[in-house]
Amino acid sequence: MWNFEFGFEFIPFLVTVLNWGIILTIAHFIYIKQNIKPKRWKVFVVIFVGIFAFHFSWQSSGTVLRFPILPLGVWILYGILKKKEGRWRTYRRFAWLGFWANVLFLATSLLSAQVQPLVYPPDEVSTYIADVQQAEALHVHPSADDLSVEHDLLTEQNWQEAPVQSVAWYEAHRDERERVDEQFPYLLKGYEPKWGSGAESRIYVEKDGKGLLISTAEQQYYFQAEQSVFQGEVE
Amino acid sequence: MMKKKWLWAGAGVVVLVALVYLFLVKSPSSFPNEKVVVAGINNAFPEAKASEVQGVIEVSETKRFVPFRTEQNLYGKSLWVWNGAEWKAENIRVDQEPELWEVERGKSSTYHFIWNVDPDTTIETFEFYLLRDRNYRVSDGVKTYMPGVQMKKVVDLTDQSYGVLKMPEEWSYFMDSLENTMPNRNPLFSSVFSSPTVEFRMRRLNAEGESVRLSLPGGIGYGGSEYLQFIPGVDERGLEKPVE
Repeated sequence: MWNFEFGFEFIPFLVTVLNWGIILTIAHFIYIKQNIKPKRWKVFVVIFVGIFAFHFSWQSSGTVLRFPILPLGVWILYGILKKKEGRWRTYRRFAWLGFWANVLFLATSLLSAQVQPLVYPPDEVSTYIADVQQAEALHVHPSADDLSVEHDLLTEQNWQEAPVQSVAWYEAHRDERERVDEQFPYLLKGYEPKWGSGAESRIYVEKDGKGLLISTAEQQYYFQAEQSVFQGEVE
Repeated sequence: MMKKKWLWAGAGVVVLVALVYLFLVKSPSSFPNEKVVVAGINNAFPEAKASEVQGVIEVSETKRFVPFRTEQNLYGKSLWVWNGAEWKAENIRVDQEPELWEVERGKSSTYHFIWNVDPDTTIETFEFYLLRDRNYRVSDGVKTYMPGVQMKKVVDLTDQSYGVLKMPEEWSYFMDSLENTMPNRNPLFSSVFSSPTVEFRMRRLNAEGESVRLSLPGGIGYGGSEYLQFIPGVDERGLEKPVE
């Protein structure tokens, strides 16, 4: 998460900061309202342990939702702290704050799942290809030709999403002598996704240079444009 | 007073020894000479009957490929690994087969094709291939297409009957991109299914560009700690040619 280079996801990062901001603010108010003032670092530890819980996990469209069910951390803390008179009462609220933080995490993860596609639309080329300074097309099939990629045509064009023609492409282009041209004989290399998207993708370029097939861990998208990204042959 | 001095001196020696030890353990010492290497191979695998080392090729800081000749004029491959204290012969094979050495397992850019063939062989070139079958999938109405991938690298054996070929950058880029976009990389479903399905294949060609069968099939070997992939052959019909 602290990796600011490839794969850095800005929204989950923001959510984490937000979560802890809220938790620490609430903890602060509990602390000043309470008469008994324990050591602050002990409060931290209690909150941390309080977070520990048994979860029911549910996955919906790529987002994992974790519903807290059993407050295991709170029980552990109770078991330890009850031994000394009044100690549990000192920390009780902080332990439960830890547990309820799980609900906050759940709510904010739902929220970030809503916001993520608004900031980084999964059906737009610009999410996957933002910086193309080093872009080149690798040959991954013998039907590829020595062509150089015009960087501006990757980013400045109006790419339209189109349906993936899986069966038609699979049938491919065979001639009577069983020679085959691959529909996507190039693999794009040397591009960066939009900052903070963390969008890892594999991008094939169509043989006429007018199509991009973008595979992510979740899905595959196909985009078409007017002009070929290839401009002339490599010298 | 005297006692204290001795104590300091003793501590100093301990620290010095520890430092030297750490340094020695960390960085591999220079590779042993031919006599030691031949003995090392024959100790680990007496059937190899190594007689002569042909060369020492570095594939990483702690790993070396050492092709050797045997008493019966056969050719063998040995993989040497620095184990922290000494160089040790791990995998040893006497055959004519190239193999793929996964030098750092899981990190495809460190992989090396290694070979050692008889210099009198009729084989002139090896063609190594990375293949991925063209495929498509329709599940829950969502269509996916996987382009067919066929990448080739040719090795000329006329000036080097033994050697290594580091995994071409394009190949490891492709393999890494498969790895990074593997479906279901989440904590709920571990990736027990579908490791990326690329295949390594090869052809042996003579001076006329015809496929050559091995005159000496099989061979003998000794397994060690290193991961080696056997590279199956592929005939011309198993490969795709572009439309002209």
